[in-house]
Amino acid sequence: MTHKQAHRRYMKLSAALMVLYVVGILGLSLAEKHTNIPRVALYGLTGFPIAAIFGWMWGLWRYVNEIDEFLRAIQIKSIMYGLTIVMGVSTGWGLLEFYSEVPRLPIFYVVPIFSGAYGIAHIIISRREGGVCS
Amino acid sequence: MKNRLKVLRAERDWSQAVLGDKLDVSRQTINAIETGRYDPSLPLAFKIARLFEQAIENIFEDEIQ
Repeated sequence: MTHKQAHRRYMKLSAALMVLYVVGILGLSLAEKHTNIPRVALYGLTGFPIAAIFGWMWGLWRYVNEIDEFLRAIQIKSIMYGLTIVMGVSTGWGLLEFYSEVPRLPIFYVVPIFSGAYGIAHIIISRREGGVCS
Repeated sequence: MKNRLKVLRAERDWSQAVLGDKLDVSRQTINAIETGRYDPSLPLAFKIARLFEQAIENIFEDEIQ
């Protein structure tokens, strides 16, 4: 499989899973506010965004294995930046919650923070090192 | 690490994309190697050497020397 084919396949999978994630989250929120759906069914609905996250990470793993070594290095660096930001923010905010009056940051935000940091890091590293942006 | 990849490629009138296809890597990777932003792994360096029918040290120059 060429890099372009791997990239196309990864982007298609990511887009589909992002839709599943967003629809799952919105569906959960709407179901909780506007219906009398049983609690257990709400727990079951959380399976959709969870499946989307696992699917995305699996797709990213497969993509990283399919691309060449230079593009893989860019991906790994971007993932490391994303993890660094998410660990720094969650640990820092967690400590602030312990020792000050900051509002509670739901653990739900780990994925959006990682996705944002990974995406921004990928754009910056790709531009700096001459790789493609994906 | 300096290299003669751009010269060798130009001698054959290949674009970066063509060379990338021959080596099964992306055009971006060829560009990064040619501009010295990325040093290829040993397997890729051997692949490049085999493609151009030259010894690795004739293509890549160790800057420590």
